Amino acid sequence: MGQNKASRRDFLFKSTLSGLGLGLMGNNLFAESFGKENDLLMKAPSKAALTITDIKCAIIGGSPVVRITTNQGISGYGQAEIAKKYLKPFVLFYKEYLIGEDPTNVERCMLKIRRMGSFKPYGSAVSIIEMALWDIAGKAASLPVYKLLGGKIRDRVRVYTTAVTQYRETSGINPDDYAQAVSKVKELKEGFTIIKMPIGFHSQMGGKAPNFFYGDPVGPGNPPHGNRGPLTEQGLKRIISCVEAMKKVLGDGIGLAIDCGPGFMLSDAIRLCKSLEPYNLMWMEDLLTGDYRPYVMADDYLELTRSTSVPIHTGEQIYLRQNFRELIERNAIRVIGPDVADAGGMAEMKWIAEFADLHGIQMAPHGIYDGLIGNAAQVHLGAVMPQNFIAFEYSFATPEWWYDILDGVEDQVVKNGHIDVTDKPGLGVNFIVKEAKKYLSEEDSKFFD
Amino acid sequence: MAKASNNFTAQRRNAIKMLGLGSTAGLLGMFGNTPAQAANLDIPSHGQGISSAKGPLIITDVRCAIIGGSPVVRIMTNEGVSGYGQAESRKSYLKPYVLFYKEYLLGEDPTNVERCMMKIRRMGAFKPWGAAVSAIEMALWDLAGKAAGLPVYKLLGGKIRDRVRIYNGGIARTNPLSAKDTGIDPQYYADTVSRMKDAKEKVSIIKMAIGFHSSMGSQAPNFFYGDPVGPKNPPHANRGPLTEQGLKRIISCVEAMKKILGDEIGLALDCGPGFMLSDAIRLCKALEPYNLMWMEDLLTGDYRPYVMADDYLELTRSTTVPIHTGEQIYLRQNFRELIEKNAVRVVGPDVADVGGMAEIKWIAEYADLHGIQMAPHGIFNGLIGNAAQVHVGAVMPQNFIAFEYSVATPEWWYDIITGLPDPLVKNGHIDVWDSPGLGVNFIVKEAKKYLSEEDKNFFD
Amino acid sequence: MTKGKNDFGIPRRNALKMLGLGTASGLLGLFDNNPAHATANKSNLFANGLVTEKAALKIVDLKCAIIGGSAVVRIVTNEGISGYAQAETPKPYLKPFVLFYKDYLIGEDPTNVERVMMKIRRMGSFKPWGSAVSIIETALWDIAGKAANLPIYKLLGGKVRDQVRCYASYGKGIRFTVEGKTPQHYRDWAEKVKSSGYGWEIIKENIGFHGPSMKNNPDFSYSNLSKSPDSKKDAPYYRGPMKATGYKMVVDHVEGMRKALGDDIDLGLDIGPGFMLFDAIKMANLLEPYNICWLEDMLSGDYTPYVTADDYRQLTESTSVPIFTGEQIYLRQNFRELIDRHAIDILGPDPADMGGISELKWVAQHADLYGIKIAPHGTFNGLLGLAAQVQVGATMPENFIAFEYTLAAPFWYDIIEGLPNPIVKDGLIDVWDRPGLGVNFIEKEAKKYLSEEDKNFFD
Repeated sequence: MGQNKASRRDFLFKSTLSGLGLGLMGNNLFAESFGKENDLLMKAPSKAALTITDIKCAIIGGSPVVRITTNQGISGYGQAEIAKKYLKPFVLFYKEYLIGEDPTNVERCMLKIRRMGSFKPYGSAVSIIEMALWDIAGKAASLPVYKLLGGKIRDRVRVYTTAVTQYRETSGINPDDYAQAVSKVKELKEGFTIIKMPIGFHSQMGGKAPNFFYGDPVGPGNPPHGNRGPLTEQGLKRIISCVEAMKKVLGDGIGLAIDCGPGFMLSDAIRLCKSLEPYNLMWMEDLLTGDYRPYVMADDYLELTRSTSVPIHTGEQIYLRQNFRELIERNAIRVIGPDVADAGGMAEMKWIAEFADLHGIQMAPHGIYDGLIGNAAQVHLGAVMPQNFIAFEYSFATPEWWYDILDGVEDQVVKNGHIDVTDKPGLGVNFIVKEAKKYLSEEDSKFFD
Repeated sequence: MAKASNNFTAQRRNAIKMLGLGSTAGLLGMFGNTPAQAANLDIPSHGQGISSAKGPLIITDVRCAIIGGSPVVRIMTNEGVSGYGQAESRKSYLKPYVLFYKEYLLGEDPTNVERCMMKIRRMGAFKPWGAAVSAIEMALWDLAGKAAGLPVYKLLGGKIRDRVRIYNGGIARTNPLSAKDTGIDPQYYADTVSRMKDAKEKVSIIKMAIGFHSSMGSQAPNFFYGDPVGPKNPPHANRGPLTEQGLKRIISCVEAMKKILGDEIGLALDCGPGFMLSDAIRLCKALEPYNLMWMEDLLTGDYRPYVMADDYLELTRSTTVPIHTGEQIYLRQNFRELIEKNAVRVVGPDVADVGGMAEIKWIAEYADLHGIQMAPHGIFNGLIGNAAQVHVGAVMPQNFIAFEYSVATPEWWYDIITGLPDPLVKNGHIDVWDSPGLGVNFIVKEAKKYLSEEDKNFFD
Repeated sequence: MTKGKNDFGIPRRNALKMLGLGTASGLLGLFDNNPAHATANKSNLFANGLVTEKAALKIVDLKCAIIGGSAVVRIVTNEGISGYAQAETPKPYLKPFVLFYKDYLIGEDPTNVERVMMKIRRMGSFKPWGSAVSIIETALWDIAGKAANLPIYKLLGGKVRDQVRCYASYGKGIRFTVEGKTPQHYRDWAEKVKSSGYGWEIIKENIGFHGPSMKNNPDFSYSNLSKSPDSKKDAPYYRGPMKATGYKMVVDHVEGMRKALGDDIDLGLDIGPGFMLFDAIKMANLLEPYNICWLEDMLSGDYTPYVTADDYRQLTESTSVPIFTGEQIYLRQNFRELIDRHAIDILGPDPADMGGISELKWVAQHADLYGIKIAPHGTFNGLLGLAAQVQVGATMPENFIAFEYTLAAPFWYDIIEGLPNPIVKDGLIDVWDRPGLGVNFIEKEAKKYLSEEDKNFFD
């Protein structure tokens, strides 16, 4: 996706480099490309308290973007999963609670609003507001956010990719399709070291493969992941052969994970996992619960996890550390995958990662649709997570013009499957307002004002 | 067995009320909120409700007849509507049990099914002493559905599937009256499943009795370390440590069956009860490569009035083969340990033994909450039993696999019942029908022929 | 508001036939109980009955209006039957939530309630994000009942009680305030409670972290979070460690109430959320002498998007005062640990938040299996909410205590018909037999209260 924009990004990068000579502190670099409000970034924080003056939300290219403005002109931005176009009223709901608060006391703000959220997608607004608060706090202090989260422990952050685009170009149900899809991903210049593929009930297989499960597949008018039921033997074998085909292509040099459900019955999941043990998968994700399941079912996961050496993974729809408690304290899974734009924000993610680490559980954050601002947040987080951190799920931006309206995205270049940690203040990405304005809807036309 | 049209009984009651109430203006006034709706003359009824003006429906009699060896319950009311339920055949002793509850039910409103059940439910136990309560419950739903002009599934939350999967049950067995076909070697098993595979019902899952649940337990030489009990003993009386030859015999029979069925038709085994725990563990692990649907009743089962959840927990944890039990268990309370501890992977209660239709539905949901699957037992439940299974199969959650199909015996049962689709089974499924109650009714003139002297007034 | 003597929704076909619009033989057939005649009409009296020549009932529209601050949903079908339900008041922001599900519902058969719910149920969460799903569920039952000409309880297994108990909670003329701290003040309060005319057997008082005066009193807890002078709205609650003076405040108030009330009215306390675990244990133990029928929401409650079953278990086991929670929890899955670990004494889910009335009934049965009691929340659920509570309350198992009674703004009583008069007698509500929820809008009156935006709601 972003490959097509490589030349432009390279150009930006090079022109930025040439500007480096002008001001090594990096500050003046950004003054021209940003809007006027960003001049204030570089001044010493005002002696008067910083307070929140407004919260705005615009849907940009289908993606909800929150902007928090302050009395000193600093703004912070956060972004939620694309295809949550309905999120706007949710975001604005919190406005009254936050106006007048000091955004650099992030936790104090969050104490006010955090509990008024829930499982995905109802924790998304709170999460992206939190993201935006860190952006402000960073900018106000002229520090990258990771410096406010304890400091980085790594200089580059590993990413993984879920090959949805490549998968969708196939018919989606046969071993050849899977081999083809991962082949394409393997060729990408990003050099991803871990690839995840949708399979089973999380893919077209669940509804389209003949004799896949004992049940009649639900029709297209249903919400996502509507199929659920007992697996047939042919269904079991189909999954195994697709995995086998993928491993043939990838060998043992690139890690393979699969996103499976939700939809499996517990005993079918057990049998499936045990059958796949020889393939040394990185993890098997969301077998029992997952997207749009507003509950955790830790006891069932415990059964599953104990039954197999395949690492069991879940978490993308779970909100707040409290809802991870059972999974983690009982070692009911081996890998958790919360999403920074759904779990409650950046500090929440970090805390959950540390809580998981205390119990020997690994961390592989979800984030496929979190966009470029989402990626930026993930990088800061990835820089500070403990050593149980595997990689975060990289987001390609859609539509592609996102790469034109954000400055700082040149830092999100994936090299050898990693992204270098940026030192720019705040999240390190900012809107090129003049360009971004072109994509605002009529309703959102004042978003950047 | 063609579908007929309206149930006029409830309409008759309404009609009489209508006449009694007089003016047409009054009638029109009852049509609804807006004139537009009143003027819409073309609205079919989706159910005719119970008149509260004339007083509730009341149970006036509870009867039981043994028809073709099968206990059939009839609950009668003050308005002429009757409901029917059926217990497993070969429980001809059940009649006095059924009549025991009569006094508790007379005068009750049968359409408040739960209220009736609260009175009698606790006076029952493990199979077969929950069968009477269960058959009564079935009949109450039949009644409630007929009185409302609704199929029972509409009173149980509404259907979530339009067709219900079955597994073989009594199909294509050489001796349909017996759960056990006779035969102890791989060839026999291969032949039998071959026949079942070719049967017109085109089932997608076949379950075979094996080990202690079949004649293998008593007739295969050197099967277990014990002397087999003779034929005068109750069913499933053999129990004991497995020999290596016994183990291998089972494995080779499974292998022979898989050769015939491939991976297209699911294979399940009904194994006991009778196995020792460690033998069950070893047997299951040995059968893991065959991807069986489930292995049933290894430790407890038919005529074992206890559950042994902890033993099942050991067994279930030891293997990827799904462990199954439940046909003799009565009420949700007795499933609690099995389910909350995930001691099994599949439960198989029988609607005619567990406490009835609402009970089996609740258990299915409880199981689903714990990631456990549902495959109801029911091989001898007869045609009314099948009807109940279809209605309740239509409403079970997504953990439902299939129910055990009952072939009616004697064959004349098909002549005395109307309401079932024909053919009943298509591609291993039964389509859910919409007629009121269970949707099956006796052709009284024909059915009467088969009543015993003692039961001759059953349909009066 | 007399009990309707008429049958609502008498099958129009029948009535029309009576009016002579059908054939004579059709009329004769209506009267005839003789199987032979029925056979002559090509039907068997006891056989397959549903008219199949018409298509099934289908949903054609989903509407939502905010009436008096309350989100009211209306599901419209192709045959003129509509189902209604109401969310907790006030939740005026709920409208887009409700309409979100419209596309999933259009074309579905509303009388297969579970099938429709399977589509949308999982797209909801803890309160308030399960509210839209919950009220849609209840409206579906309203339609199913009306279509079948049956009260909802008949579609939920039938009633097991003829009257449903409710208890007094928030509301003017229902639970009065103690005006001062002297014994006389408590006696005056007790007198008002006893002579309210409702005949309450259980009343619930807001206190502690759930009582506005106590929780803001600096002597109550050690919580001293910063407050911004420029901020306009604070969080629904904070937690904090208790002070000794805080415990005393609670105990004194409870003692005062209990002494004045005597022993024949049960007293419940809505006291959190806000307690730390061990403070909650200490608080409960201090209240043991006062015969409290439950302590509600000590650790979590409204706007707590998680359950903490293990903490509740410890609390529950440490005291003889029954521990109670549940109003914000969504779906049976999220009640599972509370129930199967015996972590709680009494559950208080709200049918307008936890997934609907059949979900409420299921959880009640699950709780019953473990010997746990149920007392549904619902203090702001309005008159439609009240009807739903009565219908489902009639079917609840033996573990049912009472549901939380709801008042509505005065105008509501003018625009809804079907409730008995008086509604509550001796703390009980008679179960009615009218189809569906059994209450309906008097559209002519109700229209007056529709906003401009919602003006087509009843059309």
